[in-house]
Amino acid sequence: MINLIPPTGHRAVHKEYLIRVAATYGFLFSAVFILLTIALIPTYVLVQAQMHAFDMEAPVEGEGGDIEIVEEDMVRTEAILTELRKVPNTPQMSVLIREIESAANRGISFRNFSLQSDPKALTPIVVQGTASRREDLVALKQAIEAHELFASAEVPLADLAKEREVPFTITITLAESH
Amino acid sequence: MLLASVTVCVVFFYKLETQKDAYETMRMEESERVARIASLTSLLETLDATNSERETIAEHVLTEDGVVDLLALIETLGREQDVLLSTETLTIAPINARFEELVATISVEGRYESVMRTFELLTLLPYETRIQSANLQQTTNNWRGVFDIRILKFKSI
Repeated sequence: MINLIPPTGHRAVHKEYLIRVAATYGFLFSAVFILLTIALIPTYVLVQAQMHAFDMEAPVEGEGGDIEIVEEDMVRTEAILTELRKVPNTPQMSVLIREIESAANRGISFRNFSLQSDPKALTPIVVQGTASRREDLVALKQAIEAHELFASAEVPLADLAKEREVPFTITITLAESH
Repeated sequence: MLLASVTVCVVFFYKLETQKDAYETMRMEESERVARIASLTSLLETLDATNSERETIAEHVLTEDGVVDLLALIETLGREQDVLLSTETLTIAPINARFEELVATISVEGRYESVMRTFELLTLLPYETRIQSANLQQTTNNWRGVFDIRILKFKSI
């Protein structure tokens, strides 16, 4: 085939050809990118909807306040229990007096009971009274010492000097387990 | 046009990626929040279940408002036992930031059995009560008891 196009025309045609090819590829790429963008729209909508749903979800009412109340309540209860555990496990003083009374026979009359407790235990009990006979006082001492609540009963020797109407002072120590 | 479409696509893609990151962060925060709420709900249920027990424990501790009632109760005990009862001293001894002790010296005068019965009732007060000292002494016609009692009390605010 004879090329009748002059050299200048030939260059113009070649240029026109290149422009058209470039334009075609440009349109194609544009279409691809536009399709890509369109394809991303559902994902975008989905993510937006999820985020909106999180935002819309109402927080639990009073969540922070509840935690504070719970914490305060627990701390308070624990503090109370700690204080209650500090109470020494010793017999009631009134029970001790009743037990001393029950250990005494008819010949004994009491005139004073003195009991003290420190935070951990009871200190010795001091009991004063009068015994009709010396034997009654000795019997009282023995009865107290035989009692499971008491460890010892100390009677000063001087208190045993008189035979009748014996004034006495007994110092009673509690048994260890109590 | 190509430039515009590429720009739109890149910008859109970038925005989507950014939002996906934010979404992942929100999802993790939400799952943590749900777990925390579940734990808190469980704790609240346990507390509800033990509410009466905790209230019973707390009732063993005297409150500021309960002091007057307590003194009235002690005086009533004295009247019922037919003894002459009086509160000699009333002080507060601090324990810690939450608790203190109400320290009362109570004197009781009457027949021996009545004084002893009053003493026994004092140890049965509906609060955590500790008898610090007790002294029972025979007087001319009667018996006189002096009792130092310490009652656990919530600290005054």
